[in-house]
Amino acid sequence: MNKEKHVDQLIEHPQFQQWVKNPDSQSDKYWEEWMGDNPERVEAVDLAKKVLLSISFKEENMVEREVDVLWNKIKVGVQEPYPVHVKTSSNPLWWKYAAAITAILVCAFAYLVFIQNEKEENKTAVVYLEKTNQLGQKATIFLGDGTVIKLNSGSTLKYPKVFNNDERVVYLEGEAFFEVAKNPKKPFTVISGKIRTKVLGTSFNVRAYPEDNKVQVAVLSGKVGVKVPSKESLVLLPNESAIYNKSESEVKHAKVDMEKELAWKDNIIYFKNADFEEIRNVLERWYGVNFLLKKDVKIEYDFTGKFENRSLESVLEGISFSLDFQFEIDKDTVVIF
Amino acid sequence: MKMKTTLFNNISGDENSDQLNNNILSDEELWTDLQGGSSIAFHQIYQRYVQVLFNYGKKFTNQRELIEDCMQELFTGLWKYREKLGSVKNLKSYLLISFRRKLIPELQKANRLTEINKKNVRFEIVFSPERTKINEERQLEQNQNLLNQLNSLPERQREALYLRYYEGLSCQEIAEIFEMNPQSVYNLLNRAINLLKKRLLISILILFYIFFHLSE
Repeated sequence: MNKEKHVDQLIEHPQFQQWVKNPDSQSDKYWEEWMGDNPERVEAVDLAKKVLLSISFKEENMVEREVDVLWNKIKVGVQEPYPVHVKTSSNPLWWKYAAAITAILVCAFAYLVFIQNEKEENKTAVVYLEKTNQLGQKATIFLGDGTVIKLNSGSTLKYPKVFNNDERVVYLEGEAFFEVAKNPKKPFTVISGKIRTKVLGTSFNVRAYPEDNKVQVAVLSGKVGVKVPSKESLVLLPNESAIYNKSESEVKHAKVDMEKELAWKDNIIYFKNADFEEIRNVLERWYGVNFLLKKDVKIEYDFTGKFENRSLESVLEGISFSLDFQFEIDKDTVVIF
Repeated sequence: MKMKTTLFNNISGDENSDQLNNNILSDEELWTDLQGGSSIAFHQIYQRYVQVLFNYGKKFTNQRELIEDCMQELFTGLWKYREKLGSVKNLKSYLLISFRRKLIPELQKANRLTEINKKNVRFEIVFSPERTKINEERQLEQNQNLLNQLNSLPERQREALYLRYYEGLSCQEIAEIFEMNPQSVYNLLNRAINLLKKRLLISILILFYIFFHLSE
């Protein structure tokens, strides 16, 4: 069976594989000519092509941001001093840019050394940076250790400009999602009011708005320790949460739906059996508005639903229908009646 | 810093061809530069293979964190031990092998703790976009049958298909990954290919038959 052999040869041929997978004008031309020269093999080409196309797998890629975040972690994980990486271009102006960048780096370096010396001299307290999101605003913060923090609206994160040698501590008021870069030698702690969340390298969400009665820590991956005053430390695993009730000083350890907890990161408002109080708090922060309830309004039903990139008005339309209330939006105020 | 230009031969097959400009280094050159301590070479190797590795990892599990942790460990090690690593014949297969060696034990550890990952079909073969275009009902049905048959092959056989025909590794390199001899890998692949050939030939014949029958 000569024919079968031809098919096998084609299937194993690297250029042929390449052509079947990613044809372009050059390879199209090449193989068309080849078939013209070998008309007796056209059938074999057809079958070999079909065989290769039958062996197909899903292509699952990382998005650009994930690629960058991972690279950042790798750079940090490499302990020895890592040379600064400058993106290059094939432009002839390249050398000029390189010279300019070198000059800037030298200045920056000199500046850093100078600052460092100054610090060394009068061992002052750690310098903290603070990021506050207004209502309706979100931000992503990249820390020097490779940790990435997504900060929700109406929230504040305070973090040292440079972490000290044996621990990483940040302060949170409000809600944030943490993807902590692994470093077993330097635990990472989030302090939010009375709650301390301590990890070595994981991802988790902390919701600790001062005006809310509940503080919640929810874990997506890894292991997280949560410490509440005068209580034993809780250890949380993925898809678990700790909910601290401020007025009763009680902690609850519970399963949690991470898709719901993290929806805010992707600009999705996700309610699951939410009462009006919860809906109100979420929408007030999300859109930076105030709710005003007319007297005698009682809303008793729960609401479950998702909203992605929607205006306040369309969200309220959806909710008001199932919770049975009327509303009016007047600038920053939502009147419920 | 080194500036090298290699002529890029389009047909010789490098799937990154679209993102490359004219001062692209070959894998061998990047490896030499990495061993000499070039952080730029290190970053280029990362850029070139980050998706290949992630894609491979996703065929084993949906736990992205775990995949990314192993990739982080792999690349960190690559930089740390670059001087001790010696020469590498094929960078892609070297990275795939090392990555697999990290991923599999981690997966076994993780799956002992949680049972979530069981449903996942590893190395599932799917319709290629080219084939999905053919929307003849009968053919779709036949394709679906073929897919089912392919996906009931042993997992190892599907992984071999993936490495050979999706990533373009040689039987020799796959043999190294599976720790078996190249002839066995060859046989493993051949069985799948023969099955495919037979099935496809039959479906072509049926189509011909239908075609002539209808046109009579």
